Amino acid sequence: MMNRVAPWSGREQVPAPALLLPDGRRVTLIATVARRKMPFGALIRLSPWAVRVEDGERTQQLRIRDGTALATNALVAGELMLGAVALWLVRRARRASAV
Amino acid sequence: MTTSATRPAPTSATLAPLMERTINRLTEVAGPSAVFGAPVVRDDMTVIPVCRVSVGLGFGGGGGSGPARAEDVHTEDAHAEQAPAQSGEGLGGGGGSQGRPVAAIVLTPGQVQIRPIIDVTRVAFAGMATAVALALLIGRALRA
Repeated sequence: MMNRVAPWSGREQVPAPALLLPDGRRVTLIATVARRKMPFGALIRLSPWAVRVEDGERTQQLRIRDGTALATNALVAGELMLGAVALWLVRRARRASAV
Repeated sequence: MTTSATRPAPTSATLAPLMERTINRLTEVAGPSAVFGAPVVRDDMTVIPVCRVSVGLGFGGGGGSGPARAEDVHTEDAHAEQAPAQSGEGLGGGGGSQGRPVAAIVLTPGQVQIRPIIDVTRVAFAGMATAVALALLIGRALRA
């Protein structure tokens, strides 16, 4: 959705020109373009969103996930959770020993 | 003695149109074709490489003016009030881009598969960095 306040900034889904496979299937690749304009610069992020395959009447759309980002986030979140539990246990043990 | 008076940076007048033009051009170029590679066809199989791209750019500028320094003024222009004013300004810009593979789309007859490409080194580095930070934090809590 485009940002109304800053028309240049925003995120939109842009489909690439459809590909026609030798077996007659039509493949459309969809990318997400995220643009952010800053006072002295700009940032553009292009990431894949989905692939749509049309085979006659049947249409299949599959989401393209960033495996590296998912794995990194899951690992870091897990470690932070473990760390929080470990810290809580340490503090609890200290409080118990003080009493 | 050096005195200087900073005047407003020439960003709004000079930089804005330049930045606007560059950004518009970049938007035209940065389309889905930058994310999806050319399909590779081998027998019945078609493989489309997919990557993620980030582009960033920045501009900056500034200027200033003031009376000439006493040592730069010739003997005949020795009166400071009559010294010629000096001014200068500069503009600069820079940019960078980064891309990494995300997945490969494998199209076989009657089947579509998305095979993720996982950068194990990146994941391991993030995990190790978090583990080290947590170990330091817990170590400090144990010592306290």
